[in-house]
Amino acid sequence: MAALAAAQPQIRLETAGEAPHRVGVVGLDVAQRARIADDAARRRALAVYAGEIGPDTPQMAGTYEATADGLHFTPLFRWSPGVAYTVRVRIGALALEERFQVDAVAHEPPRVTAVHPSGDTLPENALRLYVHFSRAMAMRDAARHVRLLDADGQPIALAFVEVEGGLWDPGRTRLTLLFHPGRVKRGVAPGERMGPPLRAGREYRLVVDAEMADASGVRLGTAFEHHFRAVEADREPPRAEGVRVEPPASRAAPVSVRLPEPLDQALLARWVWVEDARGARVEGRVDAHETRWDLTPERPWAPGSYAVRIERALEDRAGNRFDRAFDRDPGAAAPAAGPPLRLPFDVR
Amino acid sequence: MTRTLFALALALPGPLLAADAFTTGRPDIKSISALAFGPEGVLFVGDGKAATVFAVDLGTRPAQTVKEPKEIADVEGKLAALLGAGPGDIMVHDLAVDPIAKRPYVAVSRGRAQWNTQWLLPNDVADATVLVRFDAEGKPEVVDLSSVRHAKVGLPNPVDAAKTVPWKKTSLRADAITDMAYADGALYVAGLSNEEFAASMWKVAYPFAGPVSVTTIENYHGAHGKYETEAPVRTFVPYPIKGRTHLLAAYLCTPLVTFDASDLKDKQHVRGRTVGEFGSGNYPLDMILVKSGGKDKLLIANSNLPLMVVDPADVAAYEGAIDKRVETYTAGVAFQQRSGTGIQQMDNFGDEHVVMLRRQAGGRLDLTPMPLRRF
Repeated sequence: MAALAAAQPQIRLETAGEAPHRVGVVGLDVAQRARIADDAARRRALAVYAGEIGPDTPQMAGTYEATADGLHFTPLFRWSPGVAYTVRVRIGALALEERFQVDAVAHEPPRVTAVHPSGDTLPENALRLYVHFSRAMAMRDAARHVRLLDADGQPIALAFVEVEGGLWDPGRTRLTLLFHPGRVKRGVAPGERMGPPLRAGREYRLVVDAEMADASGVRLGTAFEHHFRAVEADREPPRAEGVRVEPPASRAAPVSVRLPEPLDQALLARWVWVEDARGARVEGRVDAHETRWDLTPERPWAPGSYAVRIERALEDRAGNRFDRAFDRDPGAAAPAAGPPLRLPFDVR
Repeated sequence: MTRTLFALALALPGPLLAADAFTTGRPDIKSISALAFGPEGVLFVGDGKAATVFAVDLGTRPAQTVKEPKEIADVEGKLAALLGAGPGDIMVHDLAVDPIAKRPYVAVSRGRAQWNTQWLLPNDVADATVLVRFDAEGKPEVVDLSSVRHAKVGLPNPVDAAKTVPWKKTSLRADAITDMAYADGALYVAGLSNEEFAASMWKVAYPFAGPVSVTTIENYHGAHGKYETEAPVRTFVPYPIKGRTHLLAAYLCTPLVTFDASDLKDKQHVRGRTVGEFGSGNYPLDMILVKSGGKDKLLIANSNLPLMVVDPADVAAYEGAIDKRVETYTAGVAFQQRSGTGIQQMDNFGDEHVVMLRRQAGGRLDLTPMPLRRF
């Protein structure tokens, strides 16, 4: 039986994302591990410095932990972006050194990565817009920095519901803008008085201004604009008959669902799934694109019968659901919400 | 920090630290708002956020005599290296020198980047969570508090964290503890309580087994022409006047006020005697008592005015009190100005020096020794 080759000692950085937030040296042999028996020895063996190293520069404060694979240092505070760190390993004859920085990108401005619905038209009774950012944003002042302008560049007053702090997802990368429902729905006082915020045939610009900042205060720097034209109100529920399923072309290929009209992107990611013949959910990566929903399975498809399931409460851009219109004519009976739609397909 | 005059207590025999209130472990300190040394070199930590004072036993350590204290250049740079931050993030909240081992201790946060106007004090901006000590070579090390003998006592009725300062929009809780000093078997703690007249002085018997009293205090502020009950004492020192302990206290816009410590009874309201108006538009940042040429001197470091030197004998001899609007910029007992702008904190260092945490003209923060004979 061949002996395992001894691993070369090397510096290991653990700097990304959440804990552990540490740096260490791994691949130490028995003799090297014997030299780091106590804290003082560990501190000598693995020294971490912040900034330029001068004769007076102290080692960073933190805690040491010796494990089966090496020695690790966890700083008292998380690594700071923009600070140059040096890690020096000295154990017997072993001498390693590495410099690193974290989150260099954190100083680049945040970006708007998408607006949904993404199309260049929007029904005048649209319910909401989602603005996606490249990283966690400052919650405050979303209302001040995000505006809807008309073709002349005039802001549309009261276009969106004002929510203190804004409607953010937990990661604070997606801002939801709700068109003022009182102005969208017919027969409700503000809508009657002020009319809907969008008028069919007119051009609009959604502007996220340059002052919008991320959670650490870095500003967008340049304003982001999304242009669209309002079209006639959509008061029709999406039609289940219009949904088409494209079975996977191979064992590893995605199943694709073509939708009859753009649907709410956030709900689409949650309310569509695939199950096998026994009703078990097929796990995989979902790509939801408003008019198209793809699932690439985690493991290759096994031959057999499957079904795409769609919650009937899934909404189009104007809040119409598969089971009913958002803004029904008075007197129309509300249909009962049925079980999720079922669209079978086979993998051979 | 405010240095206690009653250093005699250091020489007292007796097991002051042996009180039952002491336990070993990590003290649950939320914010190091103020530092002060007490009897037998015990370190008092005032925690405004938790409205608690801690007594931390730093252990037995050899007494040191230092003839020439070392200057520690670029304190923020050194702390930044220690804490893995940029120097622009580092903020020192308080300084106290261990009277036994002659080591400077500082309360540190990584909050200076949030500081944005001249009226914000460090505790308004961030909670100091790290205690750092400098060694004889000026190297900083984080004081390991994971297992220390300590005792604590909660301050009754601290100001509600939801209340804000109307003119600077900060939480009043930042001023729950502004300064502390030990004298005559008690730790005096200045700050804000939740009373209508918020400015308060707690008196905590030490060792922490005895009573804790709180007295609301007010003063006449000549520069503002009114009695003030909400502004907290910024810095104070105990000092004996005619054989009785008094607290000499300085406030924002710089009135100097004396309180007879024997008047500070639980749940009473006491009016101090305003003896000086040293100039408005200024925070007195720190006040210490020093002995120079056999004479007591009071040193006051300021945010916007030079270093001031006051003879406490003048305070004792001052007749009456300032109780009318002061139209001149200053009034009351005399003070001398000394070079020393940018001094944020100071403390005695042995018998012949003080050390001053000083922002130099180039922006660097240094811990600079100064011989007492200068005063």
